Amino acid sequence: MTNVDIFANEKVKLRLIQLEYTYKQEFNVTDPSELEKVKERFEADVRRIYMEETHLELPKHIEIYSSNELIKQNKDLDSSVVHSGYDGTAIYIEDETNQVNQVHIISQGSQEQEDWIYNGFGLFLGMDVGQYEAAKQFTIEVNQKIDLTENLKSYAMGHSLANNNQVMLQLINGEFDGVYGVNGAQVSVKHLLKADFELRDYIIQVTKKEYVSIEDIPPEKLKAEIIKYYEDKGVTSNITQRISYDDPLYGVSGKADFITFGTVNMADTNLEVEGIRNILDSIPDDKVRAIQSYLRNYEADYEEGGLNGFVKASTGIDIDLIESVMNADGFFAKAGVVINRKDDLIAMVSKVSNNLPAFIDMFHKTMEGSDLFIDGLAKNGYLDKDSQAKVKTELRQVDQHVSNIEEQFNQLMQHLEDKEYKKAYDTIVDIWNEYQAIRDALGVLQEELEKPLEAITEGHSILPLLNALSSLEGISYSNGDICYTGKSSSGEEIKWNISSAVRIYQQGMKIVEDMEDSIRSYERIYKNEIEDDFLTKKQRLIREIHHIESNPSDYLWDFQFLLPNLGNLGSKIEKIDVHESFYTAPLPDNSNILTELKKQATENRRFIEEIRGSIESLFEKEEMISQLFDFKG
Amino acid sequence: MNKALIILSTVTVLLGGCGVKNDEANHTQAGEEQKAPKDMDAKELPQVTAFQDEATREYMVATEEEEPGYYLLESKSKKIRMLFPEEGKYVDLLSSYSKNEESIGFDEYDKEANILMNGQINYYYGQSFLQKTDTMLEIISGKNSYSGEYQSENTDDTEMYLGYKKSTFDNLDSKYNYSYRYFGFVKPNQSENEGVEYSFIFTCKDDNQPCSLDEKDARDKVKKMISSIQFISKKEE
Repeated sequence: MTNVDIFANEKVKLRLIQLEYTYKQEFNVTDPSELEKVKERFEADVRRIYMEETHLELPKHIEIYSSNELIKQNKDLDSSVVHSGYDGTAIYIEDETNQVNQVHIISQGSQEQEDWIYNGFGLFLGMDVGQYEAAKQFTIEVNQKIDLTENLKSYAMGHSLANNNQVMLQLINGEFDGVYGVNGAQVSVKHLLKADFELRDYIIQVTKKEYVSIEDIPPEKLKAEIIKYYEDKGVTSNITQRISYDDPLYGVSGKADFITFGTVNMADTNLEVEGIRNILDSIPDDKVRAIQSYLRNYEADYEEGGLNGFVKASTGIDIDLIESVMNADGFFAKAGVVINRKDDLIAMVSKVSNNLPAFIDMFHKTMEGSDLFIDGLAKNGYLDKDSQAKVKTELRQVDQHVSNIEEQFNQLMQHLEDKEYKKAYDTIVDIWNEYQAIRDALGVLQEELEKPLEAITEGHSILPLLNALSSLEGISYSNGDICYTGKSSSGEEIKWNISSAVRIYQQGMKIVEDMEDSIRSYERIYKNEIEDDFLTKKQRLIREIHHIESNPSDYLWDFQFLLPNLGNLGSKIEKIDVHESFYTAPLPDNSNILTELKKQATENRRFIEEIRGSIESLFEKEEMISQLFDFKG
Repeated sequence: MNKALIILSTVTVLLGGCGVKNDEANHTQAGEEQKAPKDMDAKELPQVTAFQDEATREYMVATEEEEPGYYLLESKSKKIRMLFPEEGKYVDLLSSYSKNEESIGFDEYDKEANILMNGQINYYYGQSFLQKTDTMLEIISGKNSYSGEYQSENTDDTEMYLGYKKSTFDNLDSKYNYSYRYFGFVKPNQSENEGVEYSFIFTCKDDNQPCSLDEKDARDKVKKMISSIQFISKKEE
């Protein structure tokens, strides 16, 4: 039982992964004291989440390390050139008495706002090995920070692309004692062969008699050998994955030579839709591979130049060049650009004539499957009948326009060869019109597909999963907070944001306590400075008076000096009699003020406690909730 | 109307251009040595796999041998050049090219000697893990389940690290159930910003044939290739 995964509770893991995303910006600080503060906040949130889910407290000793701190701002590294494909945070927990000594690495995946085409390229075509190396670098840096390496356990958790990194680390290095992935990107055959040299050596050995090159091994056989290799190696059994049927990554993971390792627990997060897996599974593998190998040629072009870069490299069409002509102001300016960039334009035409056939071929191949895909989306609940028909019509039109352009471009080349300038000009106008028509059609498609795409992307998020896993318990989540569902007196269902209520309670209590502290210190100061001080000073004065009265002769000199006419030299003072009376400013009765102040503070306290009491009484699990209210992270 | 004028002027330029293009084409045909191997006809190229295989040809710089049995290869990113064996054949499955890295995988099968070689070069650019050689070597050791040291050597422009491992596969029913593997890291002296990770696997292919695989020969071959790696971008600066 010792040193088992302290975050074994799945919902803790899911919420920590969510939490880590929200700290991405916050961890991006350079000032050490700022960083400390961020770490403190992060730690407090980790403790709160753990308490909310398990009703237990985490050990006292926790250290937080972020990739930003260990890699991007590492003083040993030249930060100006550093690109790291890795973002993540490590939580180190140590408790000697309970034999807890473990580090949890939360790797960051992609978020919805990120460039999905970019991710898609990486995923679909095989990820960069650099991603794995950067993740490995982080684990090396984290391990260097930990002093107590004996019996250290290490665990990984991550969402989306992060799962790819952590599974790779586990397969290649056996890095972790447990890996948990949620809606993760799976690893591909290509990625593994590129990154794992031991694997490659093994595969060559088992297949060399039959195949000269790794490339000649039939894909299914290759896949089976790889799975066998890692299972025999014993690194797959502690990988656990939680996957939503609605996750688009799950949708693609049956294709493109992905391998899903570990134990997979499925969940249905949205009962109204059916995901996209069965649609994609119906596309033949060889077709997918053909598209993959075509796109692979232009991956770097997409990364460097975005969509225009991709179009330029794949078709030869230089959209920037065309736009520089179109955007020039006035005829002469436009003509100027044309003349200035004459060579580029010529190069473009020759490149287009080279590249266009392959592009068009690929395009039609893709379009052939589009009907199937759109029908699938409709069947699985993403598209209604109207949209389905509309989208299909528009796609067919795009396909037609592209065919037209292909034909017209061939005509254009012919006209140019025949020096039929008028006809060439007319053809260019035709191509231009087709291009405009494609743009219009794409606009309609974008509009029609926006909602379905949103629904598909939603299936990838963590939140719907958390809610799906908790729905039977009457628990839901919102913005990293936990909510309980209760019933009002009229029987209506109410969702209470407990995290928020606890924050209100704890902050409110803090204010009341501060108030009470202030009252107490006022009371003390009033007593010390006003009441006690007056008495002390009065007593000191009386003592002084007594001394004067009992030793009058001691004061002769003072009197002679002050009152020169008092008498001749040699006079004596025999008696001094002081008539005393002590006055103070008219102070009000302080005890009344104090009573009033204390009453107010008590009322505030009672009000805040009432909030807590009413929430506690609303839910049956009273004991647990009161624990949350009392917990200080 | 304006649009029509632009298009017209474009056409004019293109037409003018057509003539120029033909001239250019004629010109290049005259000076053949200017042409990249990938633009040449297979018949004109050396009759070795490196040129006869279409995908491999893409990487070849020139048709002259640099050293007996080796030609010059240039990466698609144009960041490195190195010697490439004439019977080497590009492997798509082990290759990729993106913004911060390029992988080139290849095989070489010497039928007579019964030796199969598989090699891979991973060029990285601007990545954090390149900056500490210790870290880089630790990563490479992990990928090779290797706990030994690296032999380090320098060329004029680079620092090279070489690790070696012999793997024996006892549970495989094969006469030659072992391989020699060489792996490591090459970094340019002048840059912290780029580097090449490499791995070469040598094994005997067919059981029923003699095999002349020799550890020293294999090692020399690897050394020849990796010490020939030039980082081009650095040289230009």
